[in-house]
Amino acid sequence: MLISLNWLQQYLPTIDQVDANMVAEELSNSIAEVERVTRVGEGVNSIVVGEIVSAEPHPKNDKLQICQVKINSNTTKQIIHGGGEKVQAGDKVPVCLPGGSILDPAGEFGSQKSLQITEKEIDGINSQGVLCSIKELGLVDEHKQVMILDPEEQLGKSLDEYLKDSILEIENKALTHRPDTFSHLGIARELSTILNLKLEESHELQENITQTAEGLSLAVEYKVKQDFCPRFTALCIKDVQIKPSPFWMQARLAVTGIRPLNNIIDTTNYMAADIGQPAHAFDYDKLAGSKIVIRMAKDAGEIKALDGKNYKLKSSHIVLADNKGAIGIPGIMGGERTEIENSTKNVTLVVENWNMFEIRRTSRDLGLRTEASLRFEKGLDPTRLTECLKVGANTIIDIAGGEIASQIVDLYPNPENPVEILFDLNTVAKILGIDITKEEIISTLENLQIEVIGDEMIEENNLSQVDQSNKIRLIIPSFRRDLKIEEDIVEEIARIHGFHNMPKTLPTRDLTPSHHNSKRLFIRKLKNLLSGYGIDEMYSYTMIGEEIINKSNLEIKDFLKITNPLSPELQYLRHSISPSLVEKIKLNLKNHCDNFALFEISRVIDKYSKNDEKLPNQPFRLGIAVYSQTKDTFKQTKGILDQLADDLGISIKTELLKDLTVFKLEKFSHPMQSGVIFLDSKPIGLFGNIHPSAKNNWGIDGNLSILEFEIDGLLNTSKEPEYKDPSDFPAVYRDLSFFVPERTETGLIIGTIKELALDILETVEISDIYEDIKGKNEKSITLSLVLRSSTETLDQKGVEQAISTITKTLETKHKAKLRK
Amino acid sequence: MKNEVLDNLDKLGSCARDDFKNVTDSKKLDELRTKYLGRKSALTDILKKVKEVKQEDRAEVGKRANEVKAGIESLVETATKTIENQKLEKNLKEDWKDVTAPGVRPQRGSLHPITQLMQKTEDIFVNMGFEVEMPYEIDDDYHNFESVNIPKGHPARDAWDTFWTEDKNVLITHTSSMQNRVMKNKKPPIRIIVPGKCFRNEATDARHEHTFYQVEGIYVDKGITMTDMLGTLKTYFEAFFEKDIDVKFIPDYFPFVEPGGQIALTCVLCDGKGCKVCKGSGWLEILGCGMIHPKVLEMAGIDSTSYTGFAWGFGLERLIMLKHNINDIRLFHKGDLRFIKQFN
Repeated sequence: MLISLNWLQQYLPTIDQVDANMVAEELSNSIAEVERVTRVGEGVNSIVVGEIVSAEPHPKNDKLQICQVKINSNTTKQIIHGGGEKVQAGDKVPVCLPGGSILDPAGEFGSQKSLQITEKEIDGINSQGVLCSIKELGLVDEHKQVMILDPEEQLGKSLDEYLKDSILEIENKALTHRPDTFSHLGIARELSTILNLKLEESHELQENITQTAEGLSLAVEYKVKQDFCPRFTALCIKDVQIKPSPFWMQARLAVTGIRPLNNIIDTTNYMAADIGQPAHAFDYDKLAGSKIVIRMAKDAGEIKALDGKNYKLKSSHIVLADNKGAIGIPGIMGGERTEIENSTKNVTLVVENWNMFEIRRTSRDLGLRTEASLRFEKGLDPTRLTECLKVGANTIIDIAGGEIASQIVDLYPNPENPVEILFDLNTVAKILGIDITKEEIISTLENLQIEVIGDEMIEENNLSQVDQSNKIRLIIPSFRRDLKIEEDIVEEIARIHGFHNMPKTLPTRDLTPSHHNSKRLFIRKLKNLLSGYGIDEMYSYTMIGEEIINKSNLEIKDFLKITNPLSPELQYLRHSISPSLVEKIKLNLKNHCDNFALFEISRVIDKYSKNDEKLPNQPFRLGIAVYSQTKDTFKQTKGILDQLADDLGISIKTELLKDLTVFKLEKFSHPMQSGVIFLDSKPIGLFGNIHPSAKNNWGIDGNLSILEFEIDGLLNTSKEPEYKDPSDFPAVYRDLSFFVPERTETGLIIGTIKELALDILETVEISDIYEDIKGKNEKSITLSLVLRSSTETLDQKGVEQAISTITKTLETKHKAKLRK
Repeated sequence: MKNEVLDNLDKLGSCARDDFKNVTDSKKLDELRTKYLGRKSALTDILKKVKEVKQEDRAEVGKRANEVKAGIESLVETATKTIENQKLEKNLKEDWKDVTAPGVRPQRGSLHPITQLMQKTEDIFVNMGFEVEMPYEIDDDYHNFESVNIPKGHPARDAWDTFWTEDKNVLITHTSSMQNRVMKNKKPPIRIIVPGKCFRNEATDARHEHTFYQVEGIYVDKGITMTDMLGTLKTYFEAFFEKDIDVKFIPDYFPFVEPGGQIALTCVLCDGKGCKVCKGSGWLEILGCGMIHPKVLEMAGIDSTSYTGFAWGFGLERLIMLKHNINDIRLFHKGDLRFIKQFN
């Protein structure tokens, strides 16, 4: 929002004594950040109102006109005018006299250079100044023609004071709850309190308006729920003259970012920026049946709005209509059919109050946001609507002439009562932690135009009733829609007192340590282990697109969809991490990484199941992708899994992938080179090589394996390993080699041996597998056994007994033949 | 006979001493060893003659012979050592290593900078008595918005550009999505931080990312005040940046707090002197915070007449960017190892 200091001065006559940057800083400290202070009009000087007496064609150049321009009753200047539309005798125009300056019309608007104006000859004829376009004055980015002024402007009047201004750019978001501050009056009220300046609310002092002429009648029908339109006021003015607004008004609008159009439309725009109340003007003669109906729109109805676009309406939208149909989307934009044009004679001025939620919903539905909707959707004050209507009517009569020629309509079925708050003075210290005197509190509130009642109670009551006596009754001015509860009042006191003065303390608390979040710690442990194994951590997006899904051979239907994605690449919520990691592998291959592995721990979104809170299940998963140009990543990945299981103290089993549908990754994983990971009997994830076709889709050469499993279930089963004293007795080391059928799963052999639970078997490992035995459907495996007792030195008999047990069991269970 | 043998032994001994003086290589040493101690050596010859010496003199001659033999053996040993030392010295000089050549490194994995500084943040707050909770990524309208006093249709919702899912849930826009649950499930004093992944439906550039990490925190108890909030956050920032930092409160509007605002801290790059990053102001606006709105407390079943509390939320990436002078927030999720491996 742009605020003009010139404009503010209307309400704060002494604000010119405060530096603009200081004003900005004080506003920033106490209500909302001023993002920028801009000086405008610096390069523009000596601009006066002139009148074209005559405009003759230049004898040498038909694009030029020789104008005689009257500057005051005694002075006429000859000015050669060229470019753009021609001027006519009688036009009042801004003139820059020699010695003055204007802004370069060829420059970029807002950062134009200043051009010095001198008396000079143009094509052989003397020119004593320049007729200015609105761009040359620095007001609007338009240089088609000379700016034509209101014919009422006083001849010879200097316009410099309207052009030189300081503009504050205030961040809107911080004022979401303060619709009253979306206006110069609102900001002036704030500044009056913060800077302790006298406030003159001139509009409030204006005379009442009454019907002064006859001839226009207006019927208003109210056909919506009362809370949709809490109040509706309107009147009609006849015999107005449509022309440019006075220069001061055009300048104010332009420097605050509003394009001046004509005196009637400018007035309604000016009202919004001035007092924060939007208004709308219709061409009275275009209202079919001289009537305005406030009703719900018809489904599939359509309206062409003032921006020239057609908007499709629904029965949930409110419209203003006449006998022919919709004439406006209230609170947002008027319709084109009833717009003010140069030929307009009579106008209907409408000032309304609308339900903020309805305006916001309609504005979002239509994708149409305007200066009016911006204010209405924050909830405006209905109680002062007739004052606003008064301001609007007086302004129109003032600058466009005419008379009020209809009754004054005021539909206000449920007048609002002022908000009262019973305020406990102790609340200030309770919330802020600082002591502010009663006097400061009360004077702050009064400066904010809050009426304080019950102050005397405090003085009269004795100390035994101190609690009760600390309460005051506050009557809130109607424009402060945001003040509803005691905490709101505390904020007012704090921000005027000055937040920047507040001390910093620490809460007093006992020494009870906080409880650790065990899942969080488990994830931390996992991450530390994985990075310790040499794996790098990735953060990739939860939102993925069709590219990742398709390249990974996944099904789009398995992903929860975002209805309003930022882009097609961010349209689905991933149910698995490893496809994202494959993408990151691919990315890093560009930087010549030969052997590397990536991991990520994140929630994934399971579209097909819901938790206790009826939200999609969002389990935490660990995903790992291992890449190597030459090495066997399958074994590396299995090694990571084995090591993790050991380090976490969990016991898992792996089985050749049989049914992967549970993970929705069946075509992403190689069918014969992937294993399911079981925790107890529950499948928690999978590992192995990725499907050759997926690898091909990704365009990845070399070896690529993935590992992914859910970690939520591990937390409860993970346990610290039990401590065992290292045995001092010597170990016996034995290697045993067996022939086993070719597809025997070696993990099962180890499992069988461990199940025997032999006391003296310290460890058993597979030290060699030889598969390439010619002519036989067998492979050879070598087991390395370490046998040791914790109580004695083993004798030969004990060792042989253990080995024989192992050999016999493997013979029976796995058809293993001991190699001799 | 006796004297002749003794004489020969003495001569042999002195001859050996002379010979060994000049030994410099192992070949010559071998020759000398054979010459003096071998089977056909002069010593062997002399020892053969000991038999011819009279019985009573044999002990003396034998003793002398052993002395001479031991002497020669000692000479051999000394010469061997000298030669070995010389060889070693020579080898030491010849067998050099290029100390500037790169070594073989242990394989090292990196933790993502967000993980590292999130852990640091958690540790600081845990030490201050806070517990840690984790948010969902997808939550319902009630928990993300309504329970923190952002009703449907309220203009405040504009501040949170929201992604919606086909089942009418939201991708959480802030980790305040856990506030209501946490306050319902625990009794005051409640000290919780909620670090987690959040989403905003806004176009990305060097400063904006649709996916980011937020740390929300709340403290609810009797007697909790705004000055406590300022002190708590100041303490955190000083621990995080490991230097003295001042904080100030700037009013702003968030529906879930009253009073609400932003915390600005002294610019950590210029220590408040004014630089490009802080646009010369010396302050950096870093987080939204305030005293928890009584409606938010009441919706979670906490009596707002007895308890007060504060809440805050900040984006972690911004702090990391300040700490490490990173210019583009998109690097965090890009996945480039050249970025990730720089933070160990």
